[in-house]
Amino acid sequence: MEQLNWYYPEDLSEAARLISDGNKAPHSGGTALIRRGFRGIQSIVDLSRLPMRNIEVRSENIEIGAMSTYNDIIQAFPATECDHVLVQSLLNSASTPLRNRITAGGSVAAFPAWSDFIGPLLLLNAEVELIGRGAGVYSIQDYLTQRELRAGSLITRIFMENYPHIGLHHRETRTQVDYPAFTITITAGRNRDVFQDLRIVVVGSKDRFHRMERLEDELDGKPVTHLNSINFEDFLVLDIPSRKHGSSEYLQHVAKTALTWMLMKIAGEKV
Amino acid sequence: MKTKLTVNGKLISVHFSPRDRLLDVLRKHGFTEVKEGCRDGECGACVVLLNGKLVNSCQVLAASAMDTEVTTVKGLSSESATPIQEAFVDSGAVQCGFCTPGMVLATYALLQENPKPDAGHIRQALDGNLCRCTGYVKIIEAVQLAALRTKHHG
Repeated sequence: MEQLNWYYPEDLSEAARLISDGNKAPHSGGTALIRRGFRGIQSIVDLSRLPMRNIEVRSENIEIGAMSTYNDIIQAFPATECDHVLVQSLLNSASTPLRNRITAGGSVAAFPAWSDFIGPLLLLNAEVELIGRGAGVYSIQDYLTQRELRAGSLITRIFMENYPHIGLHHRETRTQVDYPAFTITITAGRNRDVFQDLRIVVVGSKDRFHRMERLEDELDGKPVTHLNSINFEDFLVLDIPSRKHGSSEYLQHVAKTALTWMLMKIAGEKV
Repeated sequence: MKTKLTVNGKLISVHFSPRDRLLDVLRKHGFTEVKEGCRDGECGACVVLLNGKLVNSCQVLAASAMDTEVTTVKGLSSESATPIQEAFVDSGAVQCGFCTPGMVLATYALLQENPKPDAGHIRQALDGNLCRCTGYVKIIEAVQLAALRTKHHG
């Protein structure tokens, strides 16, 4: 068995120095690492001693330290915001003991196919702060799509917008204890007459995530009754791969049904 | 690797491999009340409190648990049964007993944060603990009884 060395940096500069060579795996909650296995990993940098667990929920923006757990994030929101899209998605994402272990930074860095966290981050225009080789602040889209940003870098904080919204998060699973085949996340302004600032993303498509900009453009600013007059087939172009949950065709049909149901829920009783 | 772990309030020396999970290290050192179930973070049989937070010990690498405090179900009380354990017995919430240590710890963690949980809170708090005997109704009743008794115990 290959040797495995653990490092325990005490501050961010030491962590950045250790991680920048690109040969060491960061360890935050460890759940993704255990699932992935240790093949090819000879060194691990444990991040538990670093000051990265602060969370600030403000009316206009949210800041999350990378070592914050899912339950830390849920508990940082006031009880009046239990329907916030981030709270909804994280509450459904894993069991209580796992939510005490899975971290925000680890989830973004690993971006497993079953992630419930990425959808809300994409809709809230999140940015990640990196230290190490790619030090800087990047949009979540850039971080997820540019592999070179990930090697030798460490996420320290995640920033995102916050605003009053109606949020819905759907995870397609066979049972409650299951990884989703895909997730759909929607946010919209709280105006029940008109679709306002509508944002829709599907995570789990063949290109990993798919922002449904054509549908957003078609509906945004229109009365909610406009839902009755559009042909969904023209807009719901989804490419979801076959998974244990079902074939690609089946999952695409389920996704379209779920999305239609979610939009009708946002529209309320008018459609 | 060699380090010291605080388990149930006592500092112990442990040896383990850099890839070992906390579950295996605890069981190897005699803490067999931490049960091995799925090893996948889904059944909750292996939960412990890590610095007071409920976690699946099968999903924790032992090397990351240095300088932490681990509490197993036996650490909740050094002598007699706790009101939670008594509530499980009195409610008939123990069948084969394999899930019970995890259920009791999950209940303890819940009541620490929310002393007056409703049935929805209880279901959510126990969402990571599976009972292979499917005795969930009695388990939820036991948590409700435990909440009542814990409140009366102050």
